[in-house]
Amino acid sequence: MRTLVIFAMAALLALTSLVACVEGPADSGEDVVLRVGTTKPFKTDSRFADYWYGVLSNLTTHDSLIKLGPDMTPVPWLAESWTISDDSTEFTFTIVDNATWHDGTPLTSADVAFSIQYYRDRDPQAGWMQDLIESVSVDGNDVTLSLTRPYGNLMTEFMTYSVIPEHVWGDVEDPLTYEGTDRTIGSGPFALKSWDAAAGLFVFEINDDYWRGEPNVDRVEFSVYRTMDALVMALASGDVDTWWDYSGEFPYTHVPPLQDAGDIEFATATFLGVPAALGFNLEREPMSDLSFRQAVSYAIDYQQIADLVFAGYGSVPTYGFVPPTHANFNDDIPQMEFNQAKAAGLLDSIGIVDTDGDGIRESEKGDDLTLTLLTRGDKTSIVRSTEMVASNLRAVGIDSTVKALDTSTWIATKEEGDYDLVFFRATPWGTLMHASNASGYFDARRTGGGVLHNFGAEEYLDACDARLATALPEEQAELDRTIQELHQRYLPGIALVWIESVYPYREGWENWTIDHIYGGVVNSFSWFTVTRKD
Amino acid sequence: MRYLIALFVIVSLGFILPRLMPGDPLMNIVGEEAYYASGGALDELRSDLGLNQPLIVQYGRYLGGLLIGDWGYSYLYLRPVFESISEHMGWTLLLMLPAVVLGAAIAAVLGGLAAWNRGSRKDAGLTGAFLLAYSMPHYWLAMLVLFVFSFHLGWFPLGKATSGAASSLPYVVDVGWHMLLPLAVVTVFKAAYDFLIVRSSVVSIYGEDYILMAQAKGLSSMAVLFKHALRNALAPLLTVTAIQFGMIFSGTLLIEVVFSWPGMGTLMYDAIGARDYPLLQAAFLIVAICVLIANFVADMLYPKLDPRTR
Repeated sequence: MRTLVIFAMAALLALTSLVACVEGPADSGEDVVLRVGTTKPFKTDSRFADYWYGVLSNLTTHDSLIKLGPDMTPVPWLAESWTISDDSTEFTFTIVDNATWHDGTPLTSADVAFSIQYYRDRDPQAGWMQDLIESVSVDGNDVTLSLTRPYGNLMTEFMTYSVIPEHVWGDVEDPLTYEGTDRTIGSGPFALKSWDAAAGLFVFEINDDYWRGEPNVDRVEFSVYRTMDALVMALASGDVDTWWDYSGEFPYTHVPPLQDAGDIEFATATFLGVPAALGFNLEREPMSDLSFRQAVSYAIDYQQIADLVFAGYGSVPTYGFVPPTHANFNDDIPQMEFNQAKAAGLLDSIGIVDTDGDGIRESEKGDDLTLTLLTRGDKTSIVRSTEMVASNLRAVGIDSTVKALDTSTWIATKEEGDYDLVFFRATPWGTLMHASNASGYFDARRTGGGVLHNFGAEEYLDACDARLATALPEEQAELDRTIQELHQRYLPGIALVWIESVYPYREGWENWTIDHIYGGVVNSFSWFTVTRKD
Repeated sequence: MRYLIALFVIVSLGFILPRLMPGDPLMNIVGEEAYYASGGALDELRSDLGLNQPLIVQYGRYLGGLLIGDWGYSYLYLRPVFESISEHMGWTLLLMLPAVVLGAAIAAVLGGLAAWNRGSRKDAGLTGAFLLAYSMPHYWLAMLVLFVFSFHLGWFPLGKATSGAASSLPYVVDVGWHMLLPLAVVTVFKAAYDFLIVRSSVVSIYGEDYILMAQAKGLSSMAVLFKHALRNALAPLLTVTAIQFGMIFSGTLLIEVVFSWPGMGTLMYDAIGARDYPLLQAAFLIVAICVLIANFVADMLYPKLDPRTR
């Protein structure tokens, strides 16, 4: 036994010594290395096959024609300028002439034209382009898109589509299954050096020849954790410098321990999206009754949701749905009102009353009114918000059953219309898509797993079409305000909370730029502004 | 023959059950915000993946593919299923094989000792400790271990299978360093389960005549325990271990999640969420085959341990 113990201790000592010999990536003393933690479920380093890598590559290895600036206006990127025809059916982009791919090949307008056509023809996620983009032509540095109908929101769409090299993808029939090592080649400030699935680690090295100039960071490492608990520990212990999530909010329950750690700082910004919202199934009664929807809106304690679910980082939204971060926020629209007496009065007025005294109001058929609340089980903040709404509804005599489902089942159930109220989230990009103002979630003509497409009022659809038909800022501003007013008037959905997002980072880093679409401090702008104090 | 019938039933259930779940695999491929207008792009993708075919046709293709070694294409990874499984299976075997063996060995020794000294403080201490370990949710234990040994003490990394930077021997050491904590947790959990079985089994044969005979011959207590008692008490442990070997390939999901370990558990969990039918079918089939093989081996080995069963 004694021999065994001595042997075990010797082995442990030897192991420890060897472990100490394991070195991290080669690092000159002067390299600025940013280590980012994330919990996104990456699978591969293919921007076509892996949705999340596609998003990540838009920040690192690839460039788009334009970007959304911190002030919510388009920023020229690969397109140094652009013109839009008066009827919003022709868009001409002038491409910079000094951009190159990571392999040194010049990036040209032909690559841009190729990219658009390639996405249109081969990327399932870009199916919307098929009936919109009629033709793409090139004239020198100019690329012109001719559309089948006016689409004023094209600029916003192209903020998320990166240009890809024709000399790599030109002969690739199926981008989803392409495994060539050149599939990660882009024109961005970084080149992918390695992806190690076992280590959960992406390593991006600086592109010294980047056409916009050298970034302030020499290397970026994205470290993937399966749980937020492990990531927070990594942040507190210094294994990572900051956190990145494309569309989610940092869990507020993890903020206090990071504050206690003492060497973590926080950047904040009003979240462009809506982290928790509900939509009505307007095909069913009594949800089809506007008075009922208004009653539901009065019944909900929004401040309680902001305080309890979002730890005080939330605020009561307005009836317009989208938060003030939006460029044309309609500040004439009032805040959501919590008034259960009003809710009860409205329900009484439309004949939904409790006739048998059991505390639950009866529907027109005489049955207890029990609503099915369909919610996404993968988002704890949405589930918790749903439970609080259920409790609020119970207080005004409406019973409910909460169905918390995984994403796939949630989508399938929603598409079948098997719900009364559906709880969802509107991502930053989601609030900008279609006719902006989160109309992409409500417009009955929209498709997409995460959208409701529950609202088909002619006035609303006409407003969306008018918004899509113009690229003039003044007209867009007016229509944005109109769409938000229509949300207030018809209540196809209710924002439950707006939030101040927090973005933790280790002290020693400063001058971050917040990007509202890509989520927080890790983005294309920060590469050129962030610095280390030492 | 019964194994072949069982295999056929399992193959068929593995095909049917995932398709009974609501949800569309294509939603996971295109993302939840993708707007697909006329639906043409989706129809094409559905056709490419064979999802527009009648179920019976898909079933026939699936069986035919199995016979020629074509296990299908993963919707989640967009590459052959076998490649995805191979990567993850390696990490699962690395973690689970030693855990099962160590767990069984620890349980055999300590379970035997506890039973041999039943009623004593040694027995109470060991039984109490393993009961405590067994009753703890193993993912909670994993989080606690990670919090104490990785975060507070900094002795171990905060999960993953490797740091990703090394090669050859330093790589081996690096992986070993990463797997110590998850291995310890899984081993403790398996040992706790096996301990109770071994202890109960040894207690049941304590009063047998041959044990008394061995003691009467003047053999030491430890010799009687390890040469006579344990040999006959190990049969139930063998059965359980055989089943555990078979289930090795399913990984241990919650441990893998806590430690960000890229094993079969998380692979199957992700496949379920994505409705990746080919990946699920293949994973279930592999687990089923391994369980069947393990049980077959156990059936062969049992008579060697206990000749009375021949």
